Amino acid sequence: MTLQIRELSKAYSKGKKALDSFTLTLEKGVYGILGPNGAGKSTLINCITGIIKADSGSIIFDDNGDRDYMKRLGFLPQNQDFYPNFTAREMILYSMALKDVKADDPKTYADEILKRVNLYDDRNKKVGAHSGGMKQRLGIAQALVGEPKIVIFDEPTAGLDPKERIRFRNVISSLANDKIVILATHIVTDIAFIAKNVVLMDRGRMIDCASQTELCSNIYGKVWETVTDYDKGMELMKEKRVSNVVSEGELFNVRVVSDEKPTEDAVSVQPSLEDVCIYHFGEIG
Amino acid sequence: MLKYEIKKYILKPSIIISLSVFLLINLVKVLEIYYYTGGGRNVLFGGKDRTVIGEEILYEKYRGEITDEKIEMLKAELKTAEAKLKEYGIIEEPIEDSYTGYPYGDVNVTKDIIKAYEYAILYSDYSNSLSEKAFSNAEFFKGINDYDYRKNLLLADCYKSRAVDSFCRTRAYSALFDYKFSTILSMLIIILAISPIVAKEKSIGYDRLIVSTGKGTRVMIAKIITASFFTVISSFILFASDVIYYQQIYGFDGLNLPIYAIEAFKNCPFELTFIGAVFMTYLLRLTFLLTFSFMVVFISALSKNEIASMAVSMGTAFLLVILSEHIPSEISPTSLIGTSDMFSRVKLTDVLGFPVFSFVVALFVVALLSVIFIAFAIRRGRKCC
Repeated sequence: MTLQIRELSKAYSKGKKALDSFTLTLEKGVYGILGPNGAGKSTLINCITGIIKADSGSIIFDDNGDRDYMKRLGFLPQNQDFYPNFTAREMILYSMALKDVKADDPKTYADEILKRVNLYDDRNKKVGAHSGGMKQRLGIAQALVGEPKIVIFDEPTAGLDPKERIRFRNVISSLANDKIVILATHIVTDIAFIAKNVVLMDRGRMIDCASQTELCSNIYGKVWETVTDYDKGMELMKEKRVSNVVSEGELFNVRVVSDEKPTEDAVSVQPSLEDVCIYHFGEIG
Repeated sequence: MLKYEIKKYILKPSIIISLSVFLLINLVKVLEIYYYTGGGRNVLFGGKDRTVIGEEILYEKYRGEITDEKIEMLKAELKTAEAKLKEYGIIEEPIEDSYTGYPYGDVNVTKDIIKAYEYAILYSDYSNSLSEKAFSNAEFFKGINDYDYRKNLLLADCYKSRAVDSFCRTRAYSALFDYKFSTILSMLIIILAISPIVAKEKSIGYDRLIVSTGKGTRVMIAKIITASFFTVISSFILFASDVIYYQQIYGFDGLNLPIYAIEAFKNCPFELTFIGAVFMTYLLRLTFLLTFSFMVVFISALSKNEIASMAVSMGTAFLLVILSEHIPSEISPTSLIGTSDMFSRVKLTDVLGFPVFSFVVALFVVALLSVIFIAFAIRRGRKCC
């Protein structure tokens, strides 16, 4: 099963290119898309989901001859809300109607989906009474209706508490076996935990697509830690790309992403995905 | 898809409560009008005062087919009432030996019935004379002005062989045809229920999900059907409440009598019975309201959130009401609400030399507007819903 995005371009009315010949081939597994604001993540997702039409390029899906990926698509948009007077089960039944998913017993089918996101006990509760976390799980549940082959999550953990975030990661991980899961988020740790592959995007183009290990090893020797006083720490923050600062009494442990050694006593450390983002974009996510 | 749209926007406690409140407001308005048009104090649901009951007894006595015997009885009734008025004068306390409790009231009611009898008896002559005049005008215009020729032929035909041979209590009909407040309430409930129909999807972000399934057009069509369904149901409930309230206050009598049995409608160009006129009134108002609801769907499709959609819809409704007096009735959708005017005057429009009733032209205009609103809403819906 592959999803090929070929030379996808999209420009908005002001002439700004949101996607610039974006090319990528996806196979089974979780892909995290990382990029700064305006990198084109949302435009890419909107093009894949059919919300907007690309100016040029193509998206080709192939799953043993099945090429109609729109019918095999699950999607959870950013900041998704639901109809407050619907119950969780009714929401799933509605998604089934939207996706033309037929089942011998639709209610049982809906309940099975809700079990997968741990919402079965709340199936008859009005969505208006759901917490943010429950709504997000419901969002995942509706994306799973029809057993999609491609599932896209746009900023799925925004606003979730740590417990819900962990629960979400676990659900996503359980999906990865037989699906292409695309995760676009600002939260690098989410991708670090779940995504096998990371796509780096900037100015509508793909900078790199590789496993986290590869991306980190690519900048090996470019991430440093140094202990400095306040003044030197401030100077480093102004002049270098700093991915982290930890206060240690009157001194500071500063993590710097730089091609050159930032201070005499700086030591090279193992890069993280956040360092990769800092290295490429100058900011995290 | 339809049942989900109905569940989303119609089957909500807020809409059901609003409709119930509107029914109550409608009742208060009907009673207010009744009170200020001299209807008396204790009016509804068995609470009628003696004057009203006396009137009803007299009307009941003389209703139905007009016969010589009834005319003679009426004359005698008037004589008796006038004699009593002479005897008692203007009194403040009611007397037993009177229909309404007051001789002056008896005289007035009897005179009203006599006036209605006279109108009914003389109507045939009146309408025949209209028909003859129109026919003679048609002869005059023949070969000179095709439109006037055709118009007069139409009028000659519609006023020919008319007669009113029965008398009945008709106040309920005039009151119903004049009463437009429930249509305003229908417009309000349509705004409340329908204005979020597309805007809500955008404000909760569900539009993206719908588009991603490729069902944008189908969902929009379901929304338009939902808006139509709600408009039919809500306007029927409110119009039915008008009918029930007026039935309770005045009673609907002589459903099968022609509409020109009421003097105010003596020039009515339509050969309609009262029951037919009631249906026509509802259908024309419904047509207007359907177009209005399509406009609200269209506004909703253009709006980013429910509040904006509701505010713009409310503003447009207000503008429609304000402008209704300044727009020619032929092209004014609101002209379809005012059946009282439609039944009392002949309004014809020259369409390519043919006389067409103005309301038919207005119907064509609202149909065209409906098509435009629906087409734009569906086009918009493909992208954002």
